[in-house]
Amino acid sequence: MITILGGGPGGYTAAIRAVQLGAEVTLLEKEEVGGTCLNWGCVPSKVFLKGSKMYSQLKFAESYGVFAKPSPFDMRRLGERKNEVKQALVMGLKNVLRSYGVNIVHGEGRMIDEHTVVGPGGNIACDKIILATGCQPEVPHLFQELSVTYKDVFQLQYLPRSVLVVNGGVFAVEMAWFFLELGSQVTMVAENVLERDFEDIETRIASYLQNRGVKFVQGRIASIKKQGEQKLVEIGEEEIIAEELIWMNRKRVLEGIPRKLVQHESVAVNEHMQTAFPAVYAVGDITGSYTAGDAMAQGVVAAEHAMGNTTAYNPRTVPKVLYAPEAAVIGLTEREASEEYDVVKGNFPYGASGRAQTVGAIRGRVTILADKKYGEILGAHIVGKGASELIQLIGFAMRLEATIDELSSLLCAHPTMVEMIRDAGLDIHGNAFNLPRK
Amino acid sequence: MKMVMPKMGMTMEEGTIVEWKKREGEFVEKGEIILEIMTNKVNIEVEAPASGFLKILRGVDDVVLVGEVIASIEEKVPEAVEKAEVSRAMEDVPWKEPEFKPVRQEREVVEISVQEERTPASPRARRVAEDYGVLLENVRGTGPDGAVTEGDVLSYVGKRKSQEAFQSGLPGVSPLAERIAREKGIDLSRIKGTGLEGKITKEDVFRYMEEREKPERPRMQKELEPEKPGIEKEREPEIPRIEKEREPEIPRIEKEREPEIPRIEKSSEIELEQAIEKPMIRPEPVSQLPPIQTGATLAEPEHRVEEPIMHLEKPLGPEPEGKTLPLTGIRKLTAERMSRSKREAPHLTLGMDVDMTEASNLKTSLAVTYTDILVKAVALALRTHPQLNSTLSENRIVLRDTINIGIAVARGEDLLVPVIHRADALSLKKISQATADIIERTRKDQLKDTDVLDGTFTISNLGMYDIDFFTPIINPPEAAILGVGRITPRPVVVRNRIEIREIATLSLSFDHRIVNGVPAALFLKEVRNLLEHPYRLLMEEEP
Ligand SMILES: Cc1cc2nc3c(=O)[nH]c(=O)nc-3n(C[C@H](O)[C@H](O)[C@H](O)COP(=O)(O)OP(=O)(O)OC[C@H]3O[C@@H](n4cnc5c(N)ncnc54)[C@H](O)[C@@H]3O)c2cc1C
Repeated sequence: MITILGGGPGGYTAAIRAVQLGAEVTLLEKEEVGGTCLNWGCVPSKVFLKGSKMYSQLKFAESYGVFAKPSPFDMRRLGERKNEVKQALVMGLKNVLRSYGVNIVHGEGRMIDEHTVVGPGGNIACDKIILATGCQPEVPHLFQELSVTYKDVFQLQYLPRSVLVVNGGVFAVEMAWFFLELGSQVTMVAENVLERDFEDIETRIASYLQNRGVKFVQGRIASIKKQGEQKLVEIGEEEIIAEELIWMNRKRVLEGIPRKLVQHESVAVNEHMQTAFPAVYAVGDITGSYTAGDAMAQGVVAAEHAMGNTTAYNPRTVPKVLYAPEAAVIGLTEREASEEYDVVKGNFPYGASGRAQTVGAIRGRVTILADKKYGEILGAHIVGKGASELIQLIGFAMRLEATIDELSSLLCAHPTMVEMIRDAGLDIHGNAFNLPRK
Repeated sequence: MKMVMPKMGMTMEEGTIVEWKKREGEFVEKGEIILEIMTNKVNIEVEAPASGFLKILRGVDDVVLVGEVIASIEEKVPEAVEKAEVSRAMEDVPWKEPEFKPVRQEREVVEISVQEERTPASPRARRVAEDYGVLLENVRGTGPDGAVTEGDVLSYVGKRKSQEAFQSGLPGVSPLAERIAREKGIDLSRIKGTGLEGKITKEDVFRYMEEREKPERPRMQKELEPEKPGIEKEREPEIPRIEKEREPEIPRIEKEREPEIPRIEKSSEIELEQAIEKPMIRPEPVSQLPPIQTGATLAEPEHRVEEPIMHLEKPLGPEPEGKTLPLTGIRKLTAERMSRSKREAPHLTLGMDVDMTEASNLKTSLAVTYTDILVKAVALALRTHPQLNSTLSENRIVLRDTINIGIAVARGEDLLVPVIHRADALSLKKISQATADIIERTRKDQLKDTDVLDGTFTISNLGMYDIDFFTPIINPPEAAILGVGRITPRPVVVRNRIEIREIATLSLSFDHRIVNGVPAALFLKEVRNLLEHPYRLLMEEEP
């Protein structure tokens, strides 16, 4: 019997996998299955980005002979569309869980010892526990009144003409991009534009944002004052005016978890996702990772290990994606790689790709890092259209431990974006088909 | 009739039993495949030499000398077998063997007793269990009184199915792991994979090598020994490999292969004498090094060397007398490499004077060292003379695609050659930082294995030891090495006048199999040119 706390990507993936391996599973969820990802994160934000992209693309349509005048953007309609998608996915997920016989308990749970969770109906005794309580928005108490969180953005009834996005990271950049595409004035206050995983492309992304008019500010918010419909925000020397302040900060939900398992505000785990109690596992955001992809990968590992397999989690082969402006990374960064390996690097610019040219996506680049000695694929970063899907192929090759030469032996339909992966691999030896001779 | 380990090839001395295809006591036909053996990493199927009942004398994984008895083919059922059949019948119900009447009798009894203490289960559960061939005892019941339900059986089957999906029986190996194993000469069949379905991953190979490196593994050593002759060639002892976290600087590859040469043998020092073929000057330290404190460092190599590394041939003739130093660790490796180099590569050494006055000015104004300037000049010259940046490999000359300059650096008694990778692409300033760093780390014993790997050309500077000229020995598998002598003010003729200039003598030793005299001379001239007009070294180009 396995009890899982939290029905986000970490929790529901673990539940399904555990049942597949023969376990009986109880899943406690206090709000809605799907967690942040389906309800307040990945899914809503991607629907929003689809809307803003269509809007901004009307401009480019003219060069393809399409003339259309954009009407004022309707946030409410977009919100409805988002709800439809979300509902469809939540319903689908519930059906899947039900088909596996996962016992879904609606309500808050709390772990009281290694083999007991207290739920709304009393104690639940179990052999193993998987903690997957995820994250919640966080705004300093002082500023709560005049701020909104990422959750609130997905419920906005109007389009603010100026926003201040507080904090950096992939999801904050996506948020900024959404408003940019809709023509709003965007300011970002952040120490780093993106997470460490993205360090090889961070400056590139920052310059995209800057070229589109994003203003970057560093420092702490000292005060927020109301000024008519707007807010006046004091950050160091600067004063920023914005209609909405959007806090992207997230806090790990650790309430139902014994303090003993918590270190530096996250739950400490080993490679099998086991906590300090061997019968208790933790997966997803509470372990310190920050994407749904990691949460799901960890969920599988925890379930398999709890059922007696020796699976281990390898964060290196989980891709990280920025949906807009589109980019993706996997594996080691150049700095990390060069600390351990003699690194060789292959590049391919989008402009040289037939497919990228035909779809008008000439801005971008594929870079693959490999070990010179054995040809191990160490990592990759892609900026440009299709990056979010292209990166998966490299991830797959890494998981199979294919060498760079095998990756570059890919046979492709033409013209396709994937050809760029092959050519970036070939470029390591200066043999790319679509680049001039070196 | 006795059956012996067959000789399946000229060189075969022993074979390992991989699998008996027939059971003990089973009737085998003459000519039928009954056994698989492995020799020289090849699996071979062996036929029954006669018809009869098989009696197995040597088990799976036994290593057996050619000609030793491994089984016999009997005319009657061997005695011990009858008992064994009974227990087999218990685990493995569907198996039938009509030959043995009495055995069958007992088996029925066994079946009944199993029936009696039967697991509580619903009739539907029994039906489903039968359909799927599931033993009910193995299924955890969730019904009343722990009875097994149909659902329990199905979920048990589901579990088994998902765990066993696509099991092919033959565990795979990842391309990367295969490549590494091939290069390291590792037999993949000895590695247990931990990847999907037991697939062998890179980590598995490394873990195996690490375990193998641990001492006290006599069996391993025995297994490895037969490989020696065949492997010698491809072993390509590179630059001493220094392990990052493991025992420092015991060259890995060598150690794996030849672990059991007696340690400090009395004759070691003669081997050294022979090996280096009389006092060739061995390449020594670079300018930044302080004088070597022999006394303090002499003991150092000893503690490092747990195991001997090299196999040097035993010399003939009487032992010489005198104080002996053990030939161990890096000293031993150096000895082997140097002797191999001299033995295999026909050396030719060219000398050329070079005016270092301008280089000396540059050195002062940029606060770089002569070594930095030399590295940069040599790297640039190699770009246009790729032959000097090559390796002889099985009758082919491989022009290396990167230029990685090794610098001979002394550490105590030892000589190491840390490498500046892609030196031609680095600015002089970058080279200066890199050399300072790598020399510092060499002296502090903090080199990583990547620091000493993949050198394509070596520079050895003995100027600070007041050596004017010497003939360096090539660092295999490289094609050439540049020796640098002392820089001294000398009178030279410049435009028909005698001037005092800073002069050094360069000596280029090269492998005459790869390079002829003229191209080598042209290369040396190019180096001189760059050193005499060192401002060319400052011109940065876009990579
Ligand atoms: C705006 C935004 C966009 C994002 N976009 C992406 C994206 O495109 N791609 C991506 O990979 N990631 C994205 N993320 C991150 C992603 O949402 C999270 O990494 C992921 O949801 C983490 O999964 P989880 O299972 O750890 O936690 P969550 O998804 O947060 O789920 C935890 C669940 O546990 C429940 N819970 C908490 N405590 C208890 C308790 N005591 N008892 C019962 N239930 C409890 C919660 O109600 C919640 O449903 C985004 C995040 C945000 C904020």
